[in-house]
Amino acid sequence: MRRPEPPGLLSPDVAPVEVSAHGRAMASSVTIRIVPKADRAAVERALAHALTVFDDVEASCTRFVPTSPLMRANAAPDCWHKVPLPCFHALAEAYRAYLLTQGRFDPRVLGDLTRLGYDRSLPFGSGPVRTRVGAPLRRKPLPTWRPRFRRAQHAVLLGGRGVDLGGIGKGLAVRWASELLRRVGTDHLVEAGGDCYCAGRSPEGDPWRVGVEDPFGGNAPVAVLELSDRACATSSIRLRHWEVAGAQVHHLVDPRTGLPGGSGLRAVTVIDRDPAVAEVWSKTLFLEGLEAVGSFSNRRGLAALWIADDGTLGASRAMSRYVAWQRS
Amino acid sequence: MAATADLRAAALRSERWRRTLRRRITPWVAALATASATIGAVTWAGSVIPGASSAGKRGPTAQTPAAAAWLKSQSRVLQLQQRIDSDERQIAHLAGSPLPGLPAAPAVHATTGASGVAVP
Repeated sequence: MRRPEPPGLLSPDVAPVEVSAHGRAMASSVTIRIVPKADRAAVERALAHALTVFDDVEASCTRFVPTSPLMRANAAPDCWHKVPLPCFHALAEAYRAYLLTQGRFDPRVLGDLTRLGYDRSLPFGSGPVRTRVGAPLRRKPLPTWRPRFRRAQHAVLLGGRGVDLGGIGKGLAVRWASELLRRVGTDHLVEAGGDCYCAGRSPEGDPWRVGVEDPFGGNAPVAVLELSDRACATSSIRLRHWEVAGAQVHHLVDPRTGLPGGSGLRAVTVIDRDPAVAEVWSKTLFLEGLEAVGSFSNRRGLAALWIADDGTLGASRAMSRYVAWQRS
Repeated sequence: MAATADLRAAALRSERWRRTLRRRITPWVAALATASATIGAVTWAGSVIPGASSAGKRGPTAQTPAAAAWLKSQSRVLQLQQRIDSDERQIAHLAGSPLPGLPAAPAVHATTGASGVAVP
């Protein structure tokens, strides 16, 4: 991880307007921007600590390293496993999300991803990706998930099937990084692979502005959101898609079928107070598909914005207060 | 007698031929009349085709082959212009420029999406 950038040629007595730090974890870039309220040394320590949060979450929750704590638990899902604290909390959060969405968010799609050939880190973004597996088949819905947790020992029993913590791990890392940064600056932005938390105000004094990426690859955003003390997360198939037996598939698997879901949609962005919750709802709404995403998000009062296969933009009622600009 | 019969037969054939000719050329004559009337209206009122380069000017004299050719070329110009406009809009969109009439997106501090790469 890169160390935080020094504030430049400023007197040590003068607080810089903004300090930033960059890194890479969980196959994503990580960016932190903070308007510091403490001395330079404290800010740099906090930034470095915040960046290591992402390393810790990746090390314990990755499914691409067979010996990671998560994968050891996945190898024997009906046994108790002691796991590091980040992994324990991530699994507990995943179960909470499973209950909150009534099973629509279900991390037990690891087997489906493996069957689709996504059993290792694939070279997305560097040309067409193909995996040598058979044609994907629909399966029956999964039985009810009943994991067990022993908080005092940080032990979990997954119950039946292995899990993929996917984006929820990233959302949690953004949350924990932001909590660390509050001590040295209440105005900051943490962004990791498209999941953001915007605390307070930008260095210009306005709400932070977050662009919604064009899922068709255009350079300009399709919308610009203004956020203050809010998180946003996007589920998109722009990058993680590949070919299996001549069919195009992507990584957002519907737990009800075991196949890629989200009929008619390219991307869904959700705003929430918490980054992990925003991530959960962005995936859940994506899997609802174009026909149901509007009614579902309005019924639940979710702030959501989606882009359909034909490029049209849609938004829920609760999203309107955050949209500063949109393409059409 | 034979001569009278021959004459009668010839006259009959001639009448049949005139009827046939009339039946065949009448639609042609009607079309030509319509076209002539249209060209005449265009050249009289100036160009009525929107976007035509010679708007306000009069084309060649009505009811001439040149008028028909001019009319055809103006229509083709219009089609090409519409296609160029459409292509330019598409290119501008792909290049990230705002569509005509739409204000540019404000600068952002971060981007949410598949990659999270910040757009400067």
